[in-house]
This record gives sequence, C-alpha cells and structure tokens, in this order.
Amino acid sequence: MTKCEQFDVVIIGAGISGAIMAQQLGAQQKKVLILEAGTGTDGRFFNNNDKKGYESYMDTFFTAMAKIPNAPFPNNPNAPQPLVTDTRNMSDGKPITNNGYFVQMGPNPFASTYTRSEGGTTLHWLGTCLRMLPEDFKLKTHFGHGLDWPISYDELQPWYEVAETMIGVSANARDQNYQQIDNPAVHIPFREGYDYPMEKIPQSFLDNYMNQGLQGMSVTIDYHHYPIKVVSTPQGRNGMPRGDYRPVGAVGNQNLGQRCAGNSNCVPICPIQAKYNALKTLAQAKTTGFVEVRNQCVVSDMALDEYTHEVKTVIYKQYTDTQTTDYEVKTVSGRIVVLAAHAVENAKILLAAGIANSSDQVGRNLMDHPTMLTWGLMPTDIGAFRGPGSTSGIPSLRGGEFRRKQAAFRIEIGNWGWSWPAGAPISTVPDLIDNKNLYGAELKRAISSVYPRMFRLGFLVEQLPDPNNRVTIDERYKDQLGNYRPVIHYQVTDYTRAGMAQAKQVSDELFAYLGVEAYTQYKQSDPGYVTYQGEGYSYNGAGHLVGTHIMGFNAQTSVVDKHQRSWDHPNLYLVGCGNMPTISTSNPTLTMAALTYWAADNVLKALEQT
Amino acid sequence: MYCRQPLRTIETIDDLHYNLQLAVELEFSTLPTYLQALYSIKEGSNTIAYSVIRSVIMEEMFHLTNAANVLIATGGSPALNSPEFIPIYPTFLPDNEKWFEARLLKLSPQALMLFLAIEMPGDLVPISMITIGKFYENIEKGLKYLDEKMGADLFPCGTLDKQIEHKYYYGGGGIINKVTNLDSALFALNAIIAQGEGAPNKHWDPDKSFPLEDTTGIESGDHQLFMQPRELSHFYRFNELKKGRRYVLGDSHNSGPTGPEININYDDVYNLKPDPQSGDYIHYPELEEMNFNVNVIFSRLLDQLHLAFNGQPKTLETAVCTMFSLKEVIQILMRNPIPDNELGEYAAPTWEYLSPEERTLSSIR
Amino acid sequence: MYRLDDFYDLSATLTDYPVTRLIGTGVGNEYNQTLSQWVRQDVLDELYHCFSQLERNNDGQVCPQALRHQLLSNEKYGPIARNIIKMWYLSIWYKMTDNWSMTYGIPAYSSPVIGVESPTPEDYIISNNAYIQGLVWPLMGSHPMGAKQPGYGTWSDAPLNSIASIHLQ
Repeated sequence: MTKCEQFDVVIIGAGISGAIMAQQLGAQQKKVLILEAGTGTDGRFFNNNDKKGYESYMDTFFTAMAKIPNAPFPNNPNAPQPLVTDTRNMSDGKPITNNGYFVQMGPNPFASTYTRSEGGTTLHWLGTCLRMLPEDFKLKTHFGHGLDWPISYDELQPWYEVAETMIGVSANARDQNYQQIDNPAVHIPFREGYDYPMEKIPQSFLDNYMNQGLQGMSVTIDYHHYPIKVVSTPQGRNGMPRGDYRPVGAVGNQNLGQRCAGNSNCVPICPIQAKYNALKTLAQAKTTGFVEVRNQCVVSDMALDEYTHEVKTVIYKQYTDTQTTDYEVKTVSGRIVVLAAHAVENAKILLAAGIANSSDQVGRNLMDHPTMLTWGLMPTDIGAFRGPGSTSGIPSLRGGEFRRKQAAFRIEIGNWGWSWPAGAPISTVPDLIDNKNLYGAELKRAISSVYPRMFRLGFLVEQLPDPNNRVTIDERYKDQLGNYRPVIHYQVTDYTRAGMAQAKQVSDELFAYLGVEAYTQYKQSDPGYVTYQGEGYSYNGAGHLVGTHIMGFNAQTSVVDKHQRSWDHPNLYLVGCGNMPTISTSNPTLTMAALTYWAADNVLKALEQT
Repeated sequence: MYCRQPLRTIETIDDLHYNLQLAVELEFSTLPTYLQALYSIKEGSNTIAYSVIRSVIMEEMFHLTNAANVLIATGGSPALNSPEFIPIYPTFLPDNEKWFEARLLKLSPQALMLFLAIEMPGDLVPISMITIGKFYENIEKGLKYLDEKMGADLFPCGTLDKQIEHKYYYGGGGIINKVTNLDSALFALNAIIAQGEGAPNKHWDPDKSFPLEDTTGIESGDHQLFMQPRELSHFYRFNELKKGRRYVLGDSHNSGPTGPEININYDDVYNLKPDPQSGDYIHYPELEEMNFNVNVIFSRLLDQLHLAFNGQPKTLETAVCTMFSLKEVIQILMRNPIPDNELGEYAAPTWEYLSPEERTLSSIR
Repeated sequence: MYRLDDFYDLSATLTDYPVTRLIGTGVGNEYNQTLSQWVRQDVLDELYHCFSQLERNNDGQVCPQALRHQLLSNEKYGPIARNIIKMWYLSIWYKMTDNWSMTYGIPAYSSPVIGVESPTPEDYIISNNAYIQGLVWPLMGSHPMGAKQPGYGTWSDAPLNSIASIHLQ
C-alpha cells in the first residue's frame, strides 16, 4: 500500500447501477473509477488473440450442458457467483455449506443468482422494464404491513422516463398505464404526451392467442372480481424507434443488435446485444473520457475517517487471472464512494468493513419473487420456442385489496414452451428415443405435434420485507481470495405462500378456460417445495434480489435515506436493488435504474457543494 | 441480356427514372455476389471477414432504399420482381462498367479482388471508365438539371407514404430520410457514394489519413453524413480483408492498412462451384430440388421487396425475415458436395427469379 | 473419415431425413468422428453389416419391424442407434453404460474430445457448431436458441405460416 490514487468518485461494481452512475458523473467531467470484481471484455465484441470478447460468452454458452442463466459467464473462483444448480431441497434441516458460492442456512433455499462480470447481471437478464404501481410505494399505509418508501411514485416518475430512454425500452405508454384493466389498484399514471423511445415489441402468437381466448374471463378474490387481461410487457430490447431515437447496437460491433432478431435466447445471453446490457452504458461512460473501469478488483474493506465518519479509502484485491490466487492489495480514495456491487455483495462489503450499520439493517430484508410455474399443452399449435422469453403478461392481480391478506403477483406468459420447467427440448427428447422407443418418422411426428403446443405461465409472487431473511458473513466461510461468502437465511412466509395458492387457483381456472392439458407437477424433492394449507407448491428464483440495505425515513430503521445516501457516512452512497424497501410485483431493474439516475443527480449536487 | 449505353446525360424525367431504376438494379446485383461469399464461410470461422462482408451488404440495402426513395419521390415506381431484374452471373454491372464482371464465388482472394473492383473509387480508375460513384454523380447532375427545369413538379405530392422511413432500416451506417426536394435527394445519393467508394472525390488526397479512432481500426469518429460512428468505405473495408490487416489511425490510401492482423482462413470456406447454373444439377435431383427451393424463397424475397417499395413499406420487415430463411436454405445447399465433381466442388445457389407459376416443384421435373 | 457413407445411410433411416439434409447440417463428419471415438471399429463394422443386410433383404427399403428386431432391440447395436439419433437431434454424445462400454466401447480413450477441455466420460455437447445444427429445433418450428435468428417479429406469425418454417421438411 504505497500510494493512494484519488478520484472524484469511486464506484464499486460495473453492473447497471455502477454504469449509470459513472456515465452520469463522467458526462459532467467528474473523475470516476469503477472497480469490478469479475473479469470483463473491455468493450470488445470479438476475441482478439488471448483477449476475450463478448463472442467468447457465446462459445461457452453453446457447449454448456446446463443452459442456466450464468452458463455463458466464466466460472471465476476469485469472484465466485451463485448458480441455480447449487440449491437443493432443505427439508432435512441441514445447511448448504459446500455446494456453490452461497452458504444457505434455510429454512428454505434462496434460489436466485446474479452475475459477477463486467456488465453484471444485465448480461443475462430478460429485459423486463415494468414500473411499480403507486400503491407499491405505500404498502404499510394501505395494507398495514411491509414498509412505505420515503419516495413516492410521483417523485420517481420523471426518473422512470430517464431510465426508459437510457436503457432503450420498447413499449406503448397507452398499454402500460393499465387503464384498460378494470382494477383501479393497478392503474399507473404516465405523463401526458409521454411515450417510450421505441414501439412495443410485437406480441407473440401465443400472447395474441391467449388475449383472444381469455376475453371475458375474470377471477374472484374475496367477492371482488378481477378481469384477466393480457398486456404487452415493456422490454429493454431494441425494436422500432420512435422519432429521432437511435437504438444502440452491440458494444464493439455497433451494426449488430440494432433490432431484436428473434434469437430466443435473452436469458442467458443475447448473441447480438439487441437486449440492453450495462456494457452499453459502460461504453458511453468511457467515451466521456473521465471514467476508468478496472476489472478483477475485488473490494474487501473500507476505512473511515475517525472524525468526519467519511469513507476515507477503499481497499481492494487485484488478481492477475482467474486460475491463480495471486493478488495485490491496493487502496484508492474518492471524495464520494458509491457502492454498486449488487444487493448481496453491497451488504457483504458493508458487513466486512463494519460500517453503515448503526440501524442493524444491513443484510436484512432480503427479498425475491418466488416464481411458481404452471405448464401444459395448448389444444393447438401456438408456436412455442420462438421470440423473446416473454412478450406479455397478465398484470391484473398486481394490486388490490387482497394484499391485506395475501401476496400480489404478476403472471408472465412464457414464449419458450417447457424450457424452464422441464429443460425442453434438450432434456426431454432423449426420453422419446430411449423409453418411448421412437425413431424415424414417428419420432418426427411426436416432436412436431407436441413441442409447438408447449405452454407455461410464471407467477412472480411478492415477498414482504422480513428482517430475518438476511445476508450475513461468517469467518468460517470465505472464498479463495479470503473474501467472505454470503451466508443466507431465507424463508418464504405464509403471506407469500397464500399468494402462491391463489396463483395456482387462477392458473387452474385459466387452463380450464383455454382447454389447456395440464402437466404441472410440484415434487417434494424440488428445492423450492413448500406447503400451504396442506397443498404443495414449488417456487424458483426470479433473479430479483432486493432489499439488503433499504432506504427509509430515519437512521434507526433503514440504511440509506431518500437520497440514497448512507445515514452513517456522509460521502457514501448505495445504489442497486438493495435500496428498495419492498419488492411488490415488478421486476426491479427499471425502478432501480430510475433510483440510480436520481442518486447520480444527488451525488453531483453533493460534489458541487464541497 | 444487359446492353446499356455508356453514361448518358439525363435530360428528361424518363431518363431520370430509367437511371434510378438502374441504380436499384445495380445495388441489388451486387448482393448475390457478396452473399455467395458470405455464406460460403463455415459456421463460426472467419468471424471478422463475415462481419465486414455482412456490414457492406446491410449498407447495400441502405443504398438500394435511398435510390428507391429518390425514384418514388420523383414519381417513379421501382420494379424488383421480374426475371430481368436479376442478371445471370457472370455479368457486367447494370451501370455498364465494362472492365470487370460480377461473379458468384466463394470467399477467396479472387472474390476480394472482385469486391474491390465493384467498390473502386473513381479516383483510382481512368477517367473514361465508369464506376458506381461516377454513375451516381451523373444522376445527381440530372437531378439538378431537372430541378431547375421542372421546379416543384420534379417532386410530386403523395409519395411520402410510399417511401421507406428510417425505422425500418437497421444494422448498418446511415439514416434514411424521406425525399421531398433536391437537397434531400442529393443527400440520399451522396450517402451511397461516400459509403461505397469513400468520400466524394473533390479533394481526394491519397496521403491523407483516414478519420479513424486509434484502437478499433474499423469504427471511426462521427461523420455528419451518417450521424453514427462512421466506418471505412466499402472499398477500404474490403481492402482490409484483402491485405489481412486493419487500418489504424494515421493510415491513408497510400500507406495501406498497418494495424493488427485479421486472420482469414480460406480453408474454412466451402469450396463452391464458381458461377453455378441450374443446369449443373440436372443429374442430381436432390441438389436440383434444394437449389429450386432457394430460388423459390429468393423470388419471394424479391416480391416482398417489390411490395415494400410500391406502397406497402411495412413489408420490408417481412423481407428481412425472408432473408434469414434464405440464408438457412442456402447454407444447407452449400454444405453438399457435388457428386462426382473432380475438383471437389460444392453446390451453390444460382439466384434466379421464378415467376409464381414456376414455383411448383413440377416445373423442374 | 471412417465409413462416412454408411454412417449417413444408417442415419437417414434412423432419422427419416434425406442424406442431403443431413449433409446440409455440415456436422455429419463430427458426429461420425465422435462415434469412432467411443465405439470399437469392429463393432461399427458389424453394425453397418447388419444394417446393409436389412436393406438387401428388402430391396433397399428397410422394414421397420426388421429394424426393431435386428438392430434397435439388440443389446449391442441398440444403444449405438439411439445415440446416433440423439446426436442428430440434440448434438450431444450421451455416455454409454459402463457395462456396454467395457464390452463394445473404447473405455481407455484418452485424447481430448472436441468441444470439451478434458476427456470426460459424461454427456457432452459435441461442438459449438453442432449445437446450432441440431435437427430438433427446426422440427419444432423454431431455431436453435441463440442462433439462426429468424428475424424481428417472426414470433407473431402463425406457426405454420411463419416464413421461418419453410425449410422444416
């Protein structure tokens, strides 16, 4: 530790929130350093001799047997990442300590993952860009549980617009305000005259089939009728631009990816980057000339100034490659430090440094969308396995009075048949050959008559903030660089389980309405198997990790204030989904991005004041 | 088949329409040549060559669209769906460049020589020889002349809805603007010249360095013509492949590319029969049928493009998708060796337009 | 390339695709090579001999009954035949049972396998390109996930009318 480099702002993490922060600050000529724990591609699309580009992720993906969300991204023991295949059923009561990155204490396994590489989890996200409902910001006030946000929908609204433009979201505002749904709880006010930068992504044949098939359908909860409406989903995916908007193509290969081409592979990786990823924002940040991105630098500690309580230095381990444990310890300092390392990693770093935790809320209130799947065969060919993973959903039950008793949920219509619930076709076709003894023309017929009818729904059920669902650290569990592995306590409570039961009921009615031949099966051996009132249900992870350093109204009950600044340290800002006090029913990235634009604005003001 | 006069001065609106139709044919006639080479590349190999050729093809579509928009804006109707629209290869280009023939070749040094000839800047050939750039300059001259002569009548009302708008175009440099007057017409044609041959040749200096960023070698700074990161002109992009090196900051026409090597492996290319004709497959019904299927889809593509430029612009989206399926059937054909061929050559498509009646299999049996 | 023509002939019967379509994937060589890596040459010779007998006995047309009796239900040939089908559809080599490998396979095989870093007896995807050329995708009316993009908005088309499906025969 010889010299300590100085920056205006040091950002920890090169995912979407770090990239947004860097781009906004760099554009105002603030000198910014981003420290990224994982490896990166430095803006290359093609491999260049031994330097890997984005295309190397495709190579890894093609030959990966399990095409899980993190399949394309290198296994890096110096910055390990969780995998969905690491979990197992925990009904035996034993913790999972030696399988994968997470240490899972249960009682239920936490099933979601994230990506530790330059670009972060947006490398494998689906691109769903839903806004939250106004009532989602005031759960405590409306329903008597959960938490209120210190910021309202109306305050966040302009930042939603910024985020939608910068990410490049394709949607029509007249669909997304949900005025067409006869349930005022879900209505979202949009600014008069506003529209998204690109037209809505065409809805799949399945979406349109369902939209017609579900005309007139409603469900009843507590004597209230809720209409079932299929609505196009806003997506961070290049479509047909409106006006002067110019879609941003692939980083390092601009001509590629200016429009979605239907590769049907958004998760785990869009081969042409028609789907937004944070590499695009990072590239924009770098072109300001004020932003440096340093990959393979894992932040392990932060030191405080005794008197001001400001973060004085950021301490990190820079490793030379992923295969050895050689590293050097370095320190940098910034007038402002922004922690943008992801909900779990942010909490881990704060706990390791022992800072920002006067509220004892760091690591607590971990949430996800336990995602319950139902699947079956449509009576007719609906062209499964085509297009973006999901192009529509049913948002009718995202809000309503029932939230006093049970979780709300959003229904996602999956375009890829049984690929999620059954691994179709790769995992299912061998059975036709080995056990059903089909070959030649019969085998062809079996595949071509069944697979295009495969259909599945996903129910993204909300969780409430629960201080016992938490990330902690433990001296016994460290990775090979000596950094902590996250120790996770997690439970799916009855509020959410009741929502799952309600979701299954809705699914049954919907299948009956459409004449779907159901194949849904929840097995006791499923990692996410839970029971509610005697019935079994299984959840999966949605990859929506929220709430480990929540914002709030005061320093006693929350980690950051409304401005996304740590209550305890005046020059420390936290960004990312960890700031969200509740998860509600929207995929959190858009809201997190909006909050990050707001946070960047606050950081700029703070820099100008000092 | 093609017997065109050398560049003639454009004096009437008919002359203009004739030349713009020729422009559309010209832009399209390079596509089979480029696509044959592109699809001959074995999957996953020669990725940089693939991406360079692809980028040129995308921009040829941009040029075609620009030429078609000018034709539509001046009251004409592009015609794309007829057997005459597609030449039989080898062929002189429709603009009457008589000094080379466009051919259907696998990716090879010989093919790259041909590509360079197609995109050759006017400054590099004797004044008497026609290049694409000179062909367009002649049209621009005619436009200016007619604009003075006819005034507002040159751009009749009611063509805007028929023109292609920018949102349909993607995947290459350039912004498509609707054409409403002389300025916008010239803007559209200038973009074609600049992207193909390089900057308009008024002050051409072979030692002037290209406007490139120092690292990438292929993308460069903003250029007002395109409002996008500008790339090297087609000629120099192909020259990078020919020389196997990138141009970097400081390189000029005379210096040639001095940047990092581009690896091209000509063995990772299907050994296609050069300039195939449908008669070549007469003894191999399976290959004949596959080539026929390619032609059916190719013909469908031309029909869709024709519709797109004749009042149904949205059909352009469908045409792009047809292009992808065309690629698939072509590649399946190209992976098949021609039986008993002493040179070990592989089958390749013949790029023929079939009339709707000719599109039933019985027509070849 | 060991008995490539025989490999295509047998494959055409097992999959009901014409040989030109199989060649058109461009990865038949890789599959055939994979087969030779895991199955003893004399066993392959016997398999092809058995198959050619079936063809000869029935004027070049293989009788489905005979194929099941002589080949698919045979403990030696059946697993090979099923693995050949799985390669064409899914581009994966599935590990043979230990018992089978001891008797007919090449268990001591130790040079690197295409597409994986170290030799492995487990199931593996034969190569990047093979994954892309799997026949299951077009048969479903789709395309390999992550490759052979059908184009913007094609997912809205009715499955049978989709221009993406014209080459599915």
